[in-house]
Amino acid sequence: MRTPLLVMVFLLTFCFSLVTWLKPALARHLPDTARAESLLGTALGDSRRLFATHCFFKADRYLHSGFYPTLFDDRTLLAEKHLAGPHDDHDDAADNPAHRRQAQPTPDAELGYGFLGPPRDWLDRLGRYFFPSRHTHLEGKAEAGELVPWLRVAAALDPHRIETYLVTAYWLRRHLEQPEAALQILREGWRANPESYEILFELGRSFEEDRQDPVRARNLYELSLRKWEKRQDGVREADSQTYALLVAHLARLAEQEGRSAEAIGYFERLEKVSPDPARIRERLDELRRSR
Amino acid sequence: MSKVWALAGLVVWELYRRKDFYVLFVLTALITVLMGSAGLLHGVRAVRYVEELCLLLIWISALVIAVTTTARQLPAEREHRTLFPLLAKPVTRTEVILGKALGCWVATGLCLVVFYLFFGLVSAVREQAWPLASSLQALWLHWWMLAVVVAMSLLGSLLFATPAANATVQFLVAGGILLVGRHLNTVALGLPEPGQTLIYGLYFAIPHLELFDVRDLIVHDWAPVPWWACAAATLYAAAYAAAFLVLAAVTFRRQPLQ
Amino acid sequence: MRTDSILRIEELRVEYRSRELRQPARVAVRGLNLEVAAGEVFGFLGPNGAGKTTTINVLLGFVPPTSGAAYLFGVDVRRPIARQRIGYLPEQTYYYRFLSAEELLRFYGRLFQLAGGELDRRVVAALRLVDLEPVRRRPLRTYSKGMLQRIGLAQALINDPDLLILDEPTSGLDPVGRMKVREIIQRLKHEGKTVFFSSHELGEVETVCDRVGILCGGELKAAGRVTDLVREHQANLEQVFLRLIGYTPALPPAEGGVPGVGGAAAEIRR
Repeated sequence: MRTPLLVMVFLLTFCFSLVTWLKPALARHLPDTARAESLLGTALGDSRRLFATHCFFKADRYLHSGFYPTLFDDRTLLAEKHLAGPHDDHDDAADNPAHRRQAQPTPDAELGYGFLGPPRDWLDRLGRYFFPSRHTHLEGKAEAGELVPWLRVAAALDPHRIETYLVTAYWLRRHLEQPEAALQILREGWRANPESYEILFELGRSFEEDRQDPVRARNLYELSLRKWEKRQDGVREADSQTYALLVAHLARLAEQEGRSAEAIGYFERLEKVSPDPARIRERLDELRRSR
Repeated sequence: MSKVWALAGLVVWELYRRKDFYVLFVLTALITVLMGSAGLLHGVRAVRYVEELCLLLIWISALVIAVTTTARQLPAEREHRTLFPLLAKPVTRTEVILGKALGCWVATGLCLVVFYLFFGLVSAVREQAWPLASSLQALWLHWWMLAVVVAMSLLGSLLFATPAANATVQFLVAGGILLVGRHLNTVALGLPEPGQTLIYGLYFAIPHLELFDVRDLIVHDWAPVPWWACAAATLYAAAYAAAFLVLAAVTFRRQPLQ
Repeated sequence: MRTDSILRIEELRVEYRSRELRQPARVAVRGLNLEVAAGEVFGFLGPNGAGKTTTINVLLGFVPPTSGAAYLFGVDVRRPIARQRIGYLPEQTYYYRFLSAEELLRFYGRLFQLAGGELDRRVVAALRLVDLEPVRRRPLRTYSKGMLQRIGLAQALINDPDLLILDEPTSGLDPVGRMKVREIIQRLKHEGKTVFFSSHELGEVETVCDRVGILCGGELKAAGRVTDLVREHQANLEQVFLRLIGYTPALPPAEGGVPGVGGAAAEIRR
């Protein structure tokens, strides 16, 4: 009787010691471990990130009215094209921060059966009548609102997932005509992620386009640019698109406010990263001539 | 058949007198109402997440009611020794199996009706619409899915030592099928032989409970399933339920009572 | 063979196989032959483990015979129809505690395919017979042991059976409860019902039964009218019973022994 008790005490002591030794080491290696402010958050621990990802994809699933690939399906067809944004509104798609890393849209015809592929057997064929098996999108303001709850939950569960704030703000601004709500979301995101240049950029756009406040927008863009420049080289290369957009917005603002030298400086930076440098060069020439 | 109905009536009566259903219904209603009124939306109107949550809770509750009610039927009869006065009547063991299965199925069906009425109320209040055909179809398919679960649980109650062990296995099997059943063919095709044949065989052998899950169609406002497909699914469920019940009846007849 | 026999057991042998391979099967009943005629009250006596409940379990189809056969109303007990005209009261009463007495009787009545007015009439009659009509709507979980034993009797009578099989019907009851059960058996006897019951209460058997069978170690040691057995062995039923099962009382601790004990032992030995 005494031996098992001693073994239990030894094991408990060993586990406790191991935790006290490992926890700080883990915190050092994972500095951005999800921090919980609520009881639920504490209980969920780092699994909150998993739930947050689930909710984020749930929003995308809603965008496609339930037609969405699972782990077992070929996700490449849909994922390349559809991450939480409309695919057929090309102008919007270019604007949607979630679409910036996406490849050219694939026409629906190319999808055929979509990620499901052709039915493999009679059960598969029959089964497709019982779940959404056709590609479609939410339409209209009323339906677009269906995405927001999942995005809000995703942001609450993982406040450090920047994409969530950007996508939520996009839908609130573009489809639901709720710019103030978008601003509030972005402010929440900035508070949780003060080093995020992406959120600062979106905030700048909100001030510029919705509040018509170019001065605050410029300040935010400049701050965003500084934050982007502070990032490591690898990250900067990976997100040169945001940089291009930032510089383009700053150049346009400077041009509008009559600060031509500053505008030329930004256009010169843009020329180096733009996919269409010839057009930027033309714009630069025009500016130089007008000076 | 009147004996089978008498036995079935006893199961329904038992569920009516127990607290399981009431607790689960109140929980479902409470969580749905709380989530529906949570301030997530910044003035944006959203209905589908509430519908999805409500249907998820209904599915979980119905599965819990079906499995726990069925899993305890025969073990409770043995444990409380009520099986002896029962089998001393002119009742065959096959009739006991059929009566218990029918009772559990009807009882879960009655619970489902209450649950789906609540779901209809939620839809009507928040969406100002009630897709009647889709809801009826969902209820019908859900009920037939539970027929398979009830039959499996009844068979399990004769094979496993305790109702808890049986319920755990049933939850794992039903949950597993609902989550990955549809994808086993995809998984099989990616495997070398003999794994491919084995997994494909398993794919055809298991009862595809996910066939009866049309929640996404309701939540995302899709048209109802074609009626012929609905009828085919019903036949499919009936065939599996019958197969499990035959196995249960054979097992029960061979088992000693003491 | 008696032509009017309602219950007939022929060369019945029941073995319980051990779950361990090397253990031999346990023989619960060996070569039992028994007949009970219509209108008879038959007492089935035996010490614990004698095979009484096993024999009843065979009659009810719960346990299959290893060899031999048993018939109720001339029908093999393995066929459910054999149980259409019998009522059974188990040794300990276990019923659905969420039901009331009336609901329980209705349920069992429906198993005999009774319905409508006939079922109502039988339920009322059975409840009256066991004096439970005033508490018919109370859930069974609130019943005392005596009340449960009486509702057990009522359920056994719901189909107005021609044969009643009672497994120790007065076990664990207080004297009043025992008296009530005894009265009910007497009334059934007067109504011409056949009663087959096992019991330890020899006084009760002596009072109620027409015939008795004494079982020990799975074998029938004696069967016949109580008066015949008593006359044949020149002793009362208790002494006959102890003698037939081979009971040897312990010797008194000292000469003279404890007052009363030595006397009783000496009486049994005589």
